[in-house]
Amino acid sequence: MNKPGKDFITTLYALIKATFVYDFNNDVVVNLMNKFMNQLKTLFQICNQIEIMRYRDYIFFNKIRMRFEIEGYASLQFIEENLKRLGIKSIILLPSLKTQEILKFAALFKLNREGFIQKFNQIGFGSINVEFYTAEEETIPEFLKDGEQIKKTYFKALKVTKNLIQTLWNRQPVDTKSFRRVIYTLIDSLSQDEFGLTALTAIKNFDEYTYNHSLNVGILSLAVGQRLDLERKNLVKLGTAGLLHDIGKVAISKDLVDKNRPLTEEEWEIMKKHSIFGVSEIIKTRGLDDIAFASLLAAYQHHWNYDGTGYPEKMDPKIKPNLFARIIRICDAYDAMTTSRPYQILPYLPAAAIRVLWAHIGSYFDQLLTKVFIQILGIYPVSSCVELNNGEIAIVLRQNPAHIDKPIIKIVMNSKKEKMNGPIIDLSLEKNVNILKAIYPQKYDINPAEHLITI
Amino acid sequence: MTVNIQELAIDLIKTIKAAQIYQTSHPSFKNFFNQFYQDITEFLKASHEFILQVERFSIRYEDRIIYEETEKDISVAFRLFKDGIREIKFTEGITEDELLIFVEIVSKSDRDQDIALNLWECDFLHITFYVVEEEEDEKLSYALPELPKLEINYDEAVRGVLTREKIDFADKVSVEISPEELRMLKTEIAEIENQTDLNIVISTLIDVLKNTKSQEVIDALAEILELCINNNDFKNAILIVNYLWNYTDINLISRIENEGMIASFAELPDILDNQSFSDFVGLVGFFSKKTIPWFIRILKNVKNEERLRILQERLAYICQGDVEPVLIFLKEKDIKILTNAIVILGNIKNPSVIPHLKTLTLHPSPLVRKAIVDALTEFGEARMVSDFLADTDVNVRIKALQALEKLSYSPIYQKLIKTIKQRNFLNLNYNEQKAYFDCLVATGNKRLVKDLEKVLFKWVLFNRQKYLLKRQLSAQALAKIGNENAVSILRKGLKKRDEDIRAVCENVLKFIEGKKKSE
Repeated sequence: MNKPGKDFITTLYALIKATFVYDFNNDVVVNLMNKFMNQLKTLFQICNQIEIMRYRDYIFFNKIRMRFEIEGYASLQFIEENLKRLGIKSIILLPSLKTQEILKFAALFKLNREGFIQKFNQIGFGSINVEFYTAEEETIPEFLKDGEQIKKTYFKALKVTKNLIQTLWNRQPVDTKSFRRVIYTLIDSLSQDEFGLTALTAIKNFDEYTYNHSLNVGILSLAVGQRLDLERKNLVKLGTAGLLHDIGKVAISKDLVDKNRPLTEEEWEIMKKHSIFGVSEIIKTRGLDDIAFASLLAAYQHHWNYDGTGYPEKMDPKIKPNLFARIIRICDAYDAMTTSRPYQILPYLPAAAIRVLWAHIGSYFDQLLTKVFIQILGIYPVSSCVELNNGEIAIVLRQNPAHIDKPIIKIVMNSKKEKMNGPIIDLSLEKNVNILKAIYPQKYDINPAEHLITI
Repeated sequence: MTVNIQELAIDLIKTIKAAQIYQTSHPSFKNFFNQFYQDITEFLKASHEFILQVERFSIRYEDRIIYEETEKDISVAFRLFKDGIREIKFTEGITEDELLIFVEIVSKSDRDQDIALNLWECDFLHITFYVVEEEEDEKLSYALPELPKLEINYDEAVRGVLTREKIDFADKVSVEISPEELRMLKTEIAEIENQTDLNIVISTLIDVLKNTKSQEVIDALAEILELCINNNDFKNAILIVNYLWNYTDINLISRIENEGMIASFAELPDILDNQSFSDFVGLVGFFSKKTIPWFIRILKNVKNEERLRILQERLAYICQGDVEPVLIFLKEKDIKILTNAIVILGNIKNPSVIPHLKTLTLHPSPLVRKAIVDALTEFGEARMVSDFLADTDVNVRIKALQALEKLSYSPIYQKLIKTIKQRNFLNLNYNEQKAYFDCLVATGNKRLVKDLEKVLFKWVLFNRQKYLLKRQLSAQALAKIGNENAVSILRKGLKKRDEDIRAVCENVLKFIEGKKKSE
C-alpha cells in the first residue's frame, strides 16, 4: 500500500470515529484534526486534489488501489464499508479545505445514506466533492471484466506447473525461465486483483491433483504473502516455494502418487518422504540461490506443525518452521482438505475446512497466519455452495475484503430448489439476506466450477 | 526543454555499451552514466516521462528510430525484444540507483539472463515496462472438473465432518490481529528480508542426508561449504565438515581444497575476530596433509604471535606424525617460512627430525636458532639446548635458558651457578640474568637455597648498584622456592647492616605476605 495513502486513510478513519463520540472541541478530535491537516498540507504540495474512490470492493487513493494488508486493515475496512453503505463512489478534497468543513463532513458518516445525502447537500461543502453510485451501477458486476485475463494467467500457470512436474518425473532438464515467468505473472495478477486469482484455486481437478494442488498452494501462499506486505523478492521466494512444496513426489513412483485407492501404512510412510525428497529435487531444479534455499526449507518443513509435531522428524527440536513453511502448511492443508482424493472421495466443504483450520489454530497452524488466511478466503470461501435464509441456493463467487462472512454470491436455485441463472448479490449490501449454512453442491447437482469459470 | 531527445538516446546507448566494457566503478563508465543521469533527470523535469518503444532491432521514441542495430549479439534492442520487452517508461523522480541497476541488468550479455524478469524483480518505482508473453499455440481450453457424486445423504456427510473434526459452524471466528502479533510478525518479516538462515539450510541438508544419501544434497553442501569459506563464514563451514566427518566416503574438504583457496586465507589470522578465528582454526584441522606446504607459505604473513602459535600447532595436528610435508622447508631461504617449519616440526613431536634440526644449530639467523631451541624443547633435548647457552645472540641464550627451565634440567646447575657467581654476570641484561635465576630455581638442586643465600648476602665494595639487581633476583628466587628455609633466610636479611640487603628482603617478604593474603 502506498505510504501517504495508508497514513491518510488511517487518520481519516480515526477522525471519523472520534467525531462519533466527542464534540469538535475535544482534545482527541483537535489532535487528530491537526494531524490530518498536516497530512493534507504535505499531500497538496505534490497533488492538486485528493481523491478517495471506491470501485466495488476496492478503495483507490489518488487512482492507486489500496491493498488490504494486515496493518491498516481495520481503517481500510471501515472506510470501504462506510463508502459502500452510503453508496459513495468518490470523495474529492480540494486544497481550500478548512478544519470546520472536514469536521462537519466526518460527522456525517454516522448517518444513513439518505441522511448523508440530504445533510451533505444542505450544508454545502465548497472544498469537498462527493459522487454517488446509482443503484444500477452498484449491481452491475463489472469487477468480473478482467476475468478472462485472470483465467488465462491461471491456466497458463497450470500448464507450466504441469510441464515442470512432468519433466522432473521424466528426469529431463527443466525450463526454469518459464517457471520464473509464471511466478511473475501470478504476483502481478494478484497485485491487480487479489480475489480473482484466489477464486480460481477453487477449481479442483481430481485427475490432475498434483498440478492443480501445487499451483493452488502457490497462489494461496502468494495471496497471504501479499497481505503481509512482503517485498517482491520475498514474494518470488514464497511463490516458488508454494509451487514446489510437493515436488519431492516426483522421486516417488508415479503409480503410488496417482494410486486411486487408499494408501497402505507402508505406502503412506513412503509418501511422507516427499518432504525429504523435495530438498534434492529443488536443488536439481533451481540450483543454489536464495530462492532455492527458501523453497527447500519450505518443502522440508511444510508438514511440520506449529506446535512442533508433524513430519519429517526434527533433528533439532529448537528449529521452528519458517514463515514461508508456516504459510504453505495452512494453504496446503486447506487445498488438500477441499479436494477429492483417493482416501477422501468426498472432500470437506470449503467452509468446513476453514473451521478445521480455526479449530487447530496455534497447534497445527500458526495463529496469526491462519487469521490472515481466513481474512482472504472468508468464512465461506469462493466456490462454496450456500443456502440462504430465504431458501435460495447460491454459489460464493468472490470475497468482500471488509466482510469475511458476507461474500458476493450468485443465486443458482430459487427457494423451491429449481435451478436458475440468478442474480449476483453482494451480501454486504443486503439487509435481509444472509447465509444460513454451507452445503454440498452435489446435493442439488450443482457444479460450482461452472459458475466460477464462466463468470 | 534543454535536452535533445536524440542526445538522450545516444547517452542511453553509450551508457549501456560502457557498462558492457567496464565495471560500473570504472571512471569511463561513470562519465557516461553521470551524463545520462543528468540529461534524463532534466528531460523528465520538463516532460515527466520518457517512453521508448522496443522493436526487434530498433528502439523508437514517438515516431523516430533513435537506435538501430541488426547484429543480434550486440543489439541492445534485440536483447530486450527477445525477452518480450516492448516498452520502457522512465518517469520523473527516477533515482541514480534505479537507473544504475537498470543499466547493469540491460547491459548483461549472458544469454541465459531473462532481462524482463530481472527488471521486474527490482520493482522499480520510476521505471516501468510492458512485456508480452509468448503466444500460446493452443487456445485456452479447460475441461471443467466434475464433482464426485455419491449415493449418500450429503447433509449427514456434513454432520459427520463436523462431529469428526469437533467443529461447529456456529462458533465465532475472529480474525482480528493484535498489535503484539503484528509486531512479532513484522520482526520476523524483517529478519527474512535481511538474511537467509544458512545454518538452518545446512541443518536441513544434513537431516536429509541422514535419511537418504542424495548426491544432489552432497554436491549442494560442497557448494555451500565453498561459499561459506569464501565469505569467511567459518561457523557454518565447520557445521558442514564436522557433520560429514562421520561419513568417511564423503570428504567435501578434499573436493574443494586447493592452493588458491589456502592462499586467500593469508590475511585472515590478523583480521578475524576471536570467534571467527577460533572457527577458522577448527576448520583448518579438517584440511588434508596436502595443504601443509600451502599453509606454511601463508603463515609467514601472520603478525599476531599468539594466533601464529595456534596455527603452527594446528598444522602439526594435520600432519598426524608425518614430518615429510614439512621437512622440505628446512632448506628454505625465507627465514620466516623456515622458522615456522621448524616450530611445526617440533610440534609434530616425531624424534626422527632431530638429526635434521641439528644441521641448523649454527644457522646464521638467530631467529632460526631460537626456533631450533623451541623445537628441541618439544623433544626434551635439554642437553642439546644447553649448548645454546654459549650462543652469540642474547635472545637465543635467553630462549635456551627458558627452555631448560621448562625442562627442569638439573645437570645444568653447576654451570649456571658458576656463571652467576662470575663478575661479568653483572654485565648481562636484566632478562638474561632473570632467566638464569629462573632456570636455576627450576633445577631444584639441594644446594640451591644455600647458594642463593650466599649471592644475596655477599658483601660488595665495587659495582654495588649493578650487584643490587643480582641481590633482588636471588631474593625473588628464594621467594619462589618459598619453603621455610628460604623464607627464614629472607627474614635474616632484614637484620643485615647492608641497607640493600634489607631493602630487597623487605620487598620480597612484603610480596609473599600480599600473596598469602590474596590467597
